[in-house]
Amino acid sequence: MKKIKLIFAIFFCFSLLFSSAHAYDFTGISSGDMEDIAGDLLNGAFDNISNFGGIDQEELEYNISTMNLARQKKQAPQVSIILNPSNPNPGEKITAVATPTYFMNDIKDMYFTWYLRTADCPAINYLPENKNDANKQCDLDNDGRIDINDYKIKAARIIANNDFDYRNANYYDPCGRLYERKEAYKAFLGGNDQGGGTDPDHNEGGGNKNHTCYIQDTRTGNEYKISCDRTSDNGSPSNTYYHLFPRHTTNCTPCVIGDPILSLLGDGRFCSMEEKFWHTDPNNPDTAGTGNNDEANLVGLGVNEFTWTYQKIEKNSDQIGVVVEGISPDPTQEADSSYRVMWALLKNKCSYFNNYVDDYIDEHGAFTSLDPELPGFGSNDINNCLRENFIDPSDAGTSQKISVELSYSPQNPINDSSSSRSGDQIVVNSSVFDAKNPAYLKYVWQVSQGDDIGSSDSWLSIPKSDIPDSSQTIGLGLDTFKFSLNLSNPQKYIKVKLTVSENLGNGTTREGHSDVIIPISSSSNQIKVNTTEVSDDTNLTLSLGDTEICEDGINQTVCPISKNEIIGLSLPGNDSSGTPFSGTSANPTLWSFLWTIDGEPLADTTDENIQTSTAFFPILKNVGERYTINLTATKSTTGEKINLTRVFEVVDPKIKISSADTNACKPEVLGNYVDLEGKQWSDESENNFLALADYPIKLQAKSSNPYLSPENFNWLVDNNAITEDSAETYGFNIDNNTTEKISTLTLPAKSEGETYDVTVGALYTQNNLIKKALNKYWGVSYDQFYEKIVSDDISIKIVNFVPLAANQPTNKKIIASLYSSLPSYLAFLFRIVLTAFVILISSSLILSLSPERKNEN
Amino acid sequence: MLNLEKKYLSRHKEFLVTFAVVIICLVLSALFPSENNIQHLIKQIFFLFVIPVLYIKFVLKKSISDFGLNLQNKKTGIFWGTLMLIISLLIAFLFIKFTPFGKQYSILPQVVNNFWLFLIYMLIFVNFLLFLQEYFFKGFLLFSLEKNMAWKAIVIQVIIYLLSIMITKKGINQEMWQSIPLLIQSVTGGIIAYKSRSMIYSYISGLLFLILLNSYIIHTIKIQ
Repeated sequence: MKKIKLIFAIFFCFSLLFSSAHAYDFTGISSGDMEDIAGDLLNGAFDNISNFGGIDQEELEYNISTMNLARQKKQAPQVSIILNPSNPNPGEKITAVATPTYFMNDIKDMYFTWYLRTADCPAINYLPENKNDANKQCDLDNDGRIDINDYKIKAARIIANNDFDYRNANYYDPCGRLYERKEAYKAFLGGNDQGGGTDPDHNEGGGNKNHTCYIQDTRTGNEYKISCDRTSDNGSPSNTYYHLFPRHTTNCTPCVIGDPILSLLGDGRFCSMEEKFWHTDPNNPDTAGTGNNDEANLVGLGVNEFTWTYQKIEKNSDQIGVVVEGISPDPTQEADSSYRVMWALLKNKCSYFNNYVDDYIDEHGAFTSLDPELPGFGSNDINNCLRENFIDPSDAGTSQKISVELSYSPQNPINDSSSSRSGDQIVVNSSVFDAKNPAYLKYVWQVSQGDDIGSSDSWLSIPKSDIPDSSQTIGLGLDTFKFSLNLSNPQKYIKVKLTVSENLGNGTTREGHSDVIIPISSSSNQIKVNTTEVSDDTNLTLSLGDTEICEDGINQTVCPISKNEIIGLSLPGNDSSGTPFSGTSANPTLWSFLWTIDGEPLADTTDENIQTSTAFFPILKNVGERYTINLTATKSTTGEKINLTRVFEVVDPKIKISSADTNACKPEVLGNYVDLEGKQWSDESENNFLALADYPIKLQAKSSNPYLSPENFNWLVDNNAITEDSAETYGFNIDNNTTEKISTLTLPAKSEGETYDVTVGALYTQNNLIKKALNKYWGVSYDQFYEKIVSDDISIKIVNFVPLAANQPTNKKIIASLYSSLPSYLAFLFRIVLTAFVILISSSLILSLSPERKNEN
Repeated sequence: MLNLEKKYLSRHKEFLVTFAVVIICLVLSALFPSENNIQHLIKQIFFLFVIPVLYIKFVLKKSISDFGLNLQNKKTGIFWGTLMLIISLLIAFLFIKFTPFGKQYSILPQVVNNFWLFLIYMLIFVNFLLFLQEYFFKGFLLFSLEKNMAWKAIVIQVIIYLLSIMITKKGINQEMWQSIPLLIQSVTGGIIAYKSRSMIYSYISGLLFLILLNSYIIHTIKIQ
C-alpha cells in the first residue's frame, strides 16, 4: 500500500511541473480563482496519470475509495465457544472450549474471563430491597446485588478450585507474606506477553510500551480509544490498569493495626485471605494443576476451556459466557511497539456502548479524528456488555438436527413376483450421529417405489401389507430395517426413508431424515439354465438345448448337475425399457456382458470374441463341489446395471421311481413331521409302497440328469427284465416320454397280500458330441470320461386300504390324559380330595389294626 | 419290655394317630401346592376343618361337640371369655407401649379410612379364617391332647401354633409382628377353651379382641 501511495505522489508532482505550470500566470490572481486553478491543476494531474501507462481512472478512483474505507472494514477480535456435549443432561459435566480470533497473542498468553450464571441464580442485576435478602449462593461478592461479577467469581472458583475440599482447609496465615508467595501472579494489560511498559503511572515493570485500549463499534467499524485506567472512588487514577477479571477486594492484613493492604486479582499479591475467598488450596500453588499458579488461573491466563456441572431447573438452565483480553493485529498510533489492547465478546453485542456513542455524537457532533477517543468510557464499562453475551447450552443443542446415514445390502437385490416369494431380503442399516441417547431414539421407516429418481411425484408409498415379512417400522431403537422383495408390481427403484426423532424433554424434539434409493431387478431376469446341444459337424458349435433345468423348487437355489456335462446359460427377456438384452437390430451391442465362474471370466466358446447374453461352461469338478456363476451386464446408453448369480452343485446322476397314480399306489407313510406352527408333513418311505388290491399300478421313473434318456431305462419286475417289447408278454406296459424324460410302467392288479419288487436302472455316460466339445473347448482328454450304472428299486405291498397318514398312537394313559386336560381348579380339587381320602383311610386302617379297637368294635 | 411297649401303644394309639393327623393337616395346610388365593382358602378349609370333622365323625366315630364345637358351660365360657379378653387387651397394650409392635403391625390401607370396609374385612374375612384356626387349634388339637395331657395341652397347642407360624413365615422375622395378636389369642383362647370345654367362647373372645385391637391401632394411625 505504501508503495502505491509513493508512486502516486511522484506522478502527481511530475504532472504539476511539466503539463500545467506553463499554462498559468500566478501573479494577480484572487483567492477564488486560486481554487479553480487548483482544481484544474488537479484534474490535469489525474488526466496525465491516467494516460501514463494506460491506467483506468475509474478503476483507480475505486481502489482509492476502497482504501479510504479499509479502516472501517477491519474485523474486530472475536471469540466463539464449542460445547461438549452439545445437548447436556442436567447433572452432566459440560466443557466449553473458547476459540479467539483476530488477536496477535498466543492463547496461552491471553486472559479468558469466564462467567457462569447457574440455573438456581436469578437474572443479572437482581437487586433485592433488603441486602440481606440476596441469595447467598449467588451473591458471591456479598455486595447485596447479584451481578456479572458474581457470575465471574463462580466461574473463577470452579477453574481454580479443581474439586479441592476448601471447607476443611486451614487458611490461617499470620499477617504478611504477600509478595513472595508462589501463588501470586501479576497480570499485564493485553496479555501475559505484553509486560515491559515503563509508564510511571502504572507499576508494570521495565520496557518502553504504552498500553492503549480500544473498542470497536461493530455498526460503523470505527474503533475508539478508551480508558483502561482503574479509577479510585474519588475519580483519580489508581496505579493499575483495569482488566475485566472477577473483582473482590481482600484485606490481606486483618491482624495489623493501621492501613490495611488491599488486594485484587492480578495485582501480584495473593494472600491466604484471598485463597480462602477463591477456595484454592493454601498448600498448593497450582490447585487447578494447569501449570500456572492460582492467581494466574483465577485471572484466566490461557484458560480457554471451562468445565462445570450443567444444571437445569424447570425452564431455567445454566448460561455461560467468556470475554477474552488480548492485543489486536492493528498497531496503536503511539511512537512505540505497542498494539491495541482489545476485548472479544461471544456475540460482540453491546447496547450500552452503542447508546453511549450515539448519545455522545448527538451531544458533541461526529468524530473528526481518524483515531478518536471516547471520553468517559473505560474498559470497566465493558462489564455492562456481558449480559448480552451469554450462551445457553440447551438452546445451542436444540437448534441442531440429528444426522442420519443409511446403507443397504445386497447391492443388486432381486424381486420375486411369483408365489414362491423367494426375493432377496433387503437389510437397511442406519447410523445416527449427535444423538443424546441412541437407545431412546424413535425410528419411523417408510418404503416407496418409483421409476423416476428425479421426480418426487413418481414415488408411491408401499403399505406394510405389501411387505408382510418386514421388520417393525415404527418404534424405539429400530436402527435396522429388513424386508423381502416380493412385490407383485415392482418398479425400477425402491426408496427407503428413515425419520429419527429424539425427545429432549420439555416438549422439545429433534429430528433427522435420510433416504436411500435401491435399484431392483426382477427374478424374471434370472439366469436361465439349459442343456447344451452340440452340432454334429466339424465345428461342434454349442447352442442351448430345449430342456430347461432347475427352473423351480429347491433346485432354483442350488442347481444339481453331473460331472462332464456342458451347461448352457442365458439371460432371456427384456430390460426395464423393453429392449431385449441381446440388443436391437440397429444396436446389437446395446448391452455389455461379463460372465464369471468362481470369480474368473468364462472361456469364450464362440468366434465372436465378445461375451453375449448366452454362455456355456463345463462341469469338471468332483461330486460335492460347487460352481458360482455370476453375470454382470450394463446398458451403454442409460447405464442400467444387472448383477445375477446362480449356484451349481456337482452330484451323481440318479433315477427315482415314483407312483404315477397316487390314488392306487403311494409310498408307505412312516410318521409325521410337525413344525412349530403345528403343521404336519408325512414322512414317506423311499422304497416301500402300498397299492390297492384289484387296481392296476402305474409307476414312473425319472432321472435327475437331463442327458439320461428314458429309452435307456431297464425295468426289472420280480426279477424279470421288462423291455418295451416284452412288456405285453407279462401283461405290463411301458411308455417312454422323451420330451419329459419319463418312463412309465403299468403293472396289472393283484390281490391283497401279494407283492411286487420293481427295479429300474440305466447306464449313464456322456454323449459323444459333448465329449468332443469338452475336448475342443476346454481340453478335457478322452480318458477322463466315465460310465456309471444308476438305479432305484421299490417293494409294493398290495392292501385293501391305503392310509393317508401314519397311525395315530392309541390313547392308553386315560387317567393321565384326563388329568392333564382337566381345568386347573378341578385338578386342584381332585388332588386335595384325594389327599383327604388317603389321610382318612390310612388313619382308619391304623386304628382298626389295633386289638383294642377290634374289641371296642 | 415288648409287652410294655405294646401296652403303651395300644393305650395311646388314638392319641398318637390323632396327633399324627394334626401334624399332617398342619403341614399340608402350609405346604400343599396352591396357585392362587382361592386355592389357598380351599386348602385351609379342607385341612383345618373338613378333614378334622371327617376324621372325628368317621374314623374316631365321635361327636364333633366333644371337640369344642358346642355351647355348653355358658357361664364359665362367658366369664373366662371376658376375663381373657381383658387380659389379651392388656398384653397387647403392653406390646404397643414397650415394643415396636405398634409400628410394625400393618393394617390394610383400604380399611383404615373406610369403616364399612373395616367391618366387612373383620366380620367376613378375618372372622372366617379365625373360625377355621380356632376350630383346629382350640377344638380338634386341644381336645385331642387334653385327655392325656390335661392343662399342658394348652402349652403344646401354643407351641404347635408358634411352629406353624414360623413355617409359614419362613423363620423368625419382621413378619412375626403381624402374628403377635394371634399368639396372644392362642394362649388366652386356649385357657378359655380348656376351662369351658368349648371353642366357641374362645373364638368370640378372639374375634372381639382382634376388632378392638385393630380399631385402636387405626385410631392411633389417624391421630398421627
